[in-house]
Amino acid sequence: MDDDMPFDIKQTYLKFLEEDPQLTMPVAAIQSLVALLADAQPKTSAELIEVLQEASQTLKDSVPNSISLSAGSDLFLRFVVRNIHDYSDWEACKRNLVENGRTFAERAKESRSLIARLGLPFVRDNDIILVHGRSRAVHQLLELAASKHVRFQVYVTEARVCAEGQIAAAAFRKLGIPTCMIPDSSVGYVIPKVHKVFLGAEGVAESGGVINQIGSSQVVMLAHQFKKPVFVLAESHKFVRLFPLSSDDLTTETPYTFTTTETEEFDPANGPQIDFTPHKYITALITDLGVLTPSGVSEELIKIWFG
Amino acid sequence: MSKDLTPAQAKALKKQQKQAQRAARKEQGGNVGGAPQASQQQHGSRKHTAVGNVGQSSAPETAAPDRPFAHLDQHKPIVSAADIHPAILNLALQMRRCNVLGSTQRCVAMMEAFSKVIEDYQSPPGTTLGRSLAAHLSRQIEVLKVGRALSVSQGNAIRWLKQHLSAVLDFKDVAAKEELQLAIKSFVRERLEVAAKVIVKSAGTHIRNGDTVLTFGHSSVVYQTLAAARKEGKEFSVICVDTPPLFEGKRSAVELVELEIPTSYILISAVPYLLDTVTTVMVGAHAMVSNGHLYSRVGTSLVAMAAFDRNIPMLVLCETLKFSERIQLDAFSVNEMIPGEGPNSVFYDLTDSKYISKVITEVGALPASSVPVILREYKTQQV
Amino acid sequence: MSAKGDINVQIAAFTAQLQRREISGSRAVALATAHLISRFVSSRRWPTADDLINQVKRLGRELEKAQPHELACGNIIRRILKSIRTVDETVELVEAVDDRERRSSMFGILSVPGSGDKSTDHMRSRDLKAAVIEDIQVLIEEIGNEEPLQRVGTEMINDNEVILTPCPRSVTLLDFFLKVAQKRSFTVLVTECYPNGVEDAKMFAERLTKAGIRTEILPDATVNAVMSKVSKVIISPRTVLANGGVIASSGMALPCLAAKNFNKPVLVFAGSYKLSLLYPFDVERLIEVGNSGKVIDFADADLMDKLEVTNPLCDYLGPELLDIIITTDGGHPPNFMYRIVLDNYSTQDQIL
Repeated sequence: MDDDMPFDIKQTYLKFLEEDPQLTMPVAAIQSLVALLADAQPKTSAELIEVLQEASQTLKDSVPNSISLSAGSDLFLRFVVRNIHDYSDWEACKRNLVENGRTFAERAKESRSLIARLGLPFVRDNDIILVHGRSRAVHQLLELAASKHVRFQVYVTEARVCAEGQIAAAAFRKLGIPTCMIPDSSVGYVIPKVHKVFLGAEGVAESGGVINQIGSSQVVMLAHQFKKPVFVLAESHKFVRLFPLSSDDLTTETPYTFTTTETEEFDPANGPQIDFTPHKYITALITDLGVLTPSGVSEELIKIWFG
Repeated sequence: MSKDLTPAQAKALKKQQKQAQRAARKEQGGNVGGAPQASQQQHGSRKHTAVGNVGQSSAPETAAPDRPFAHLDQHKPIVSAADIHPAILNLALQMRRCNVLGSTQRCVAMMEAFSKVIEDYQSPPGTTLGRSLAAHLSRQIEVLKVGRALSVSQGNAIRWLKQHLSAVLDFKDVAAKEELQLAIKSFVRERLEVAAKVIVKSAGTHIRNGDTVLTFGHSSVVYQTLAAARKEGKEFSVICVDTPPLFEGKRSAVELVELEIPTSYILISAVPYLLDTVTTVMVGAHAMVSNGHLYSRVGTSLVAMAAFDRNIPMLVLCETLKFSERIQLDAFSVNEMIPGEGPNSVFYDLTDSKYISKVITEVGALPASSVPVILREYKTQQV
Repeated sequence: MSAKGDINVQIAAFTAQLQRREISGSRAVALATAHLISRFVSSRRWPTADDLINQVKRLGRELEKAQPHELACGNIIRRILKSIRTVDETVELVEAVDDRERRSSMFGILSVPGSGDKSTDHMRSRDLKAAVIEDIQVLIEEIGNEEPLQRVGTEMINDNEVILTPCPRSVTLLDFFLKVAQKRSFTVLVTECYPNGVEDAKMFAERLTKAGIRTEILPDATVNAVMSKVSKVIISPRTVLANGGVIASSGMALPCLAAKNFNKPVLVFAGSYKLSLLYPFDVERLIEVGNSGKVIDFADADLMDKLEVTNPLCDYLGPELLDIIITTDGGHPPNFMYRIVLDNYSTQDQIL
């Protein structure tokens, strides 16, 4: 109903992401919705919810991989719905939200430093740590550990197709952490020597399973096979009400195709960018709500959705 | 090959083959692997096989149905007879007292005792050694069995010896004695000593500088492997795991300390605590049974299971003389009480083949699943 | 003043007892700690809750230092700290319920600053003291009362079961078996626990046999051999960690691993004073190593000099080895323990 509004939720969202490279997708989504709130001036609470819902849907539809984003927008919607019903003084609450829009990003960064603090004891002297892909939370934890003079070494996978391993490895080396970059196909080779695996997350599913950069699931399954603990570092605003059973259930990606001719040029970037790692392979999630077992995620989600 | 046969034809063919095999086996009077029913008897705990004229009490006095091993035979007193050779009687006693302990040691000691029996044997008038020794030996073996149930290695060696008696059937007594004693010597050398050397060489490749090898109880071939690696100048350490009441691990520890190998000594309950420092587990065997499981000193399966849990390779060093055609699924069906110990003290347990990374024998290193293959190969070679 | 002097003497005495291991066993230590803190709290006036918290923490640090392996002591102190915090917050809570809730949940990120400033209206000192002492009394009763634990446990034992237990030293388990025997007929296999628990195993078996329970002492190495005949394994650990793993007396890891491999359930009995905030980051630090003279006879002194002999007194058992953890408030799957732990303790008190 607000199609004719000048406010463009997608552009707002992308702008937020662009402005601050430290910003995660869910937080950017929350900020965009808050910005919308300031702009829309809905009259009734029902109207407000409708506006938010629609914008949230528009946003989800407008990006190829919306899972992480939807964790934020869903959380925000739920927050608004609950507060509208719980508090008579909704106007004040909304005003507060709008006025403090920018602080959410700060809060999210605080979450990451809290995660780093909680995760610090997990990094021990002489550890060999395997990291797949690039994760801000993992980076912050290892940065903290290095600054505390914990002596450890890191294997970083190349993490194709996102290929952010190189960036991550460079960043670790800059921190003075002995780092070894390995191709994704070498995980099975190095895993017996690895002590633990750290992983970020784009989203954490209801089961405690993790949606993350593609390749995560195979790394984690190998770690599981070799009985190496897998720790997922994720801010609680990435918990999302989804319960995929396999990567197939993350329908946002184009599947690979079978061909008998060489006509099509092989480009891995055309394939899926994320995959799903079931919770049974995950030792613990280090979150701003504490160190949780995977089942703890569903508890937190239940608390805010059914509470 | 049997592609073109109807099922019925195939069945008939199979039956034919089986009959032929059976006939062959009968003729040979046994084989290296040993017939299953024979080995069942040696360890036969439920069945009361003929144990000479010794007491027949069928159940232990304190039989309590809740005791896991209540069905096993209690040890009976060793009773001598006029025609029992003192070396045999002594060995039976030594085995009962666990002074002669371990599959290899027991087999060597038995073969040496047999050599003496043969040496001192006077064939009764009117017959030759070749024709009468078998019965005499059988009586000696019965006494050994009262001392302790025969080990798989002993059982296999006895089968070989009985088979070999036919070679001296027509010999004069003196020549027969000489031939048999030589044969016994070369049997022990070939099947145990040379076999051990081959195993040591192969197992040695698994010890590298900086390694920590964990071993359980005592095994002569494991000891030889560690000693050889030490001699080659490899720098490694050993954890000896022990358990009451036999404390065989202590013997390993003493031997290794003498070689100046850095050695730790722990009891089995401490295995999980130190396991993370271990690179390889190496154990000997009492027997490899034909379904690929390892039948060995009680506790071995716990060590193997713990190692498996942490992805630490578990090597079994085992001469093929210790291969048994027996099928065994648990430690109840076949086992033996430790003399003079509590009602729940048994000698052996069974280690699942899935916990075993590699079985190293003198004919090669193989997965535990290949034990029946070796048994078959031997059989066909013999037939 | 005299009361204060008196309490200092008591603290010193308790510290010494801990150091010399004159008081040992989680339940005894937990009870003694609770009584001591109760007297400590009542011995003085506390101007503010923060003051009380700081002093209890300081005392806790001392006691932990006296005996770092006896985690029950620290657990009780943290329970009491949590109780002080809760008592102190009851006033604030009314005003700032939404803010607290948000901070501790996923809504944390959306909480608006300034909407719930910490209330300065603390409870008055005397009320605080009385309330805290009352809470400690409840805690003491809880520690002493194993009835709920036994009730839950009894439901899980069936007639004609064969129960294997590798912890003959546990009073909790002894009492439990004696209780269950009134209702059920079952067999207990207790492991010998060589070398540290041989005498305990004998006594344990004797007590059970006397009560008419069929009991057998099983050599440690025989566990795997008999596991197929066992229906359940029951243990009572020293400490339950936040991840649902446990620190238990040495000799429990192998039976539990065997049970897992035979798909036999492992039941863990642990009074709530055994729950700890700790996560097993550094298992080795948590494991106490004992006298190696128990492993090798002193008669073998020569050999001992050349050998490295290790006698760990504890095992770490990961949550994957356990099926159910039965505490004072019922049975929980191991992966739920983090929640029970968070209910009992405040994360602020992790380090005293």
